Amino acid sequence: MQFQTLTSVVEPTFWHALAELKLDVLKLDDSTVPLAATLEPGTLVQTSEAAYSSMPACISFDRASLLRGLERADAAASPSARACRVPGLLKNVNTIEDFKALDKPALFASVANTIWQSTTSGTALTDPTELVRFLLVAYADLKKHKFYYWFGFPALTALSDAQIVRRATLAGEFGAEKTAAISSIFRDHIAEFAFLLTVDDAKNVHYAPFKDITILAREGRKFLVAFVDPSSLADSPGWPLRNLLTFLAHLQLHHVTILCGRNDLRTSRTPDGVGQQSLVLDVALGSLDIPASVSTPPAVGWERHPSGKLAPRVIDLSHMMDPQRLAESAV
Amino acid sequence: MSNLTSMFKGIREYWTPVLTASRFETDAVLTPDEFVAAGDYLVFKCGTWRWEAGDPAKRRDYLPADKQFLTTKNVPCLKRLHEMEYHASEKTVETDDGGDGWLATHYKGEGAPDVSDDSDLDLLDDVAAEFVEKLTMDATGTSSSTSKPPARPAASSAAAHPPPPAHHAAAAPEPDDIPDIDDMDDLAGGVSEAPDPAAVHASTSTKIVRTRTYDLAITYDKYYQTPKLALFGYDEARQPLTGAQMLQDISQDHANKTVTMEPHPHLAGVMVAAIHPCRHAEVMKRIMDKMREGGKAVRVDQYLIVFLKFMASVIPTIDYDHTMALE
Repeated sequence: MQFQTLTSVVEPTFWHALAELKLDVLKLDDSTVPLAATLEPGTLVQTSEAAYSSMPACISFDRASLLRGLERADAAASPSARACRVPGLLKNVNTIEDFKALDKPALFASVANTIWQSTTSGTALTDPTELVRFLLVAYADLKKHKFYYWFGFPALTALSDAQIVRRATLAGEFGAEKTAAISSIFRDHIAEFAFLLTVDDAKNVHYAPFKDITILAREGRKFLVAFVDPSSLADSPGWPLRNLLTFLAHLQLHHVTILCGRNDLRTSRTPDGVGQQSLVLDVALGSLDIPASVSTPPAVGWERHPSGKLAPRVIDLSHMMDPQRLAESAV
Repeated sequence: MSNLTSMFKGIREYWTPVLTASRFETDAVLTPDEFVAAGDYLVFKCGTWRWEAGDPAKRRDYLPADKQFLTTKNVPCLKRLHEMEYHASEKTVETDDGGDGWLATHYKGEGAPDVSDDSDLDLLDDVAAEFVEKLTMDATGTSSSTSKPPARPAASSAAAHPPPPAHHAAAAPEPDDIPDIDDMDDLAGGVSEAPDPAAVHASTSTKIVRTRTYDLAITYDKYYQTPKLALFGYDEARQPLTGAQMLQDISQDHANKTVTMEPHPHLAGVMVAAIHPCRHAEVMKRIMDKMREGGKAVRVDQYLIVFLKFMASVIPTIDYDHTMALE
């Protein structure tokens, strides 16, 4: 089974807020800071009269990503309930030398460890966004308005033999009427990242919180695990499903039905209508394979540089942040 | 008549800073409450739009704290407008020092006819007529994704009208600002990963399209009492576009007079390309009148849906959802 890696999209408002955080709050303190990101459901785009292509699987960052770090009276500015927010960790160092010398693998492993703890302790049951935890290492050169940064999206590799045994579109599986009902549930619960759908005797579809999975499984009830899928590829769901499947395997489930909830559940603007991009996958999970010598299974998922290399990125925002250049261009 | 109207508007602006009584039916403008109702309806109709609270320091007290503006993100924009059509009137919008500036001004080229009020009104009528026709098509379902820009002109006409000058495609940071790849290896310090057979990378998959994307925001303009659209774009590598680059994706026909680069009304630290709303109410009024003639009155909560369909003529290559039905 293959998963599409995440592509980070960082709004300038994020860097502006980071500069503010560094100057006003953190100063020379370089301990880690909580962070949040928005997982965007996967989107197709029309590339010609009859052809559609996938957009990259996006995770986006804006000013609200740093709200907890900024510790302002921003309560009312809490992000929209119509967005899927996932938690992460920012390590912002003070110098470029610190950035070079930073033990990035150790930080990455510690986030992977947090994900594994959420899996084994069951905290992911009450908050499945814990399974999407990520890392950002950064150095903000505030004099030059340049930001060096690198995202890590750890995926535990303990589950290597999961297989898709059956694949259908959501609309193909449920028909137009129930797809519309599922679309409405998806919009209402998108903030939860993962939730359950049950089907009653009258074939009506109902929402259930993710934590009900243990009860439903014990009672042998049929359910789907729905998640916000940033991918729109027909054969590869998005990266966050990887840790979610690992968690389901840890719950001793062997076969699960997954609903990959994509952008067609939010908009009428889709190639063939609602529920044609979103997928229903029957997955045979296989078993967890954890080396006896380690406490946390190995994880992968540093974001690639656009060149394809494993390397950080740099962004120059002097044209937007330098007061002198702003003044010049505002004439 | 239009002079009278504008005089009246001036006086009213002076006396009533925030519009409280509805003048939607008569002037196609919105009160803040009506803006919120229209926003709620848009979010209900199309889940890709959502309300945002924005920066508390920039909060407008006439709007609810958690409903300051509407946004939709990650909207694809596959092609530049100059690849789709050529406007004889198109002129490079001037920016300072070689293109990374932000000032976009109303450009009237030498010899270009001065645009009078009359021809403006004709243009508005054209926009409204074209719009209503399109709407009818949408409603009958004969075209689900209309407002596709016209096909690229034939080679001969393309040759006769060369594409805009190169500095139109203005530029990212100076090359020497970007560390070379050896530096990057240095920065990468100790990170290695074995090839991962379970990973599909956007940078290497042939099924994933690399395209510009835009974040759109609809804000409420208190002065004009209409919604206002603001854009912010990213290039194929997800780096922010410059102002000049964003202008490549805004129709010169409708917007070369009315696009400004300005700070986001609700967010600190970002300059957006804003479609100036000075004619929005006028166009909306004409569209609504035409629709009423056609037996289809627009309700106030449907305002933003009609507005977004209208905006699609201004940003025809930015592929957001403007196809939703009114009901």
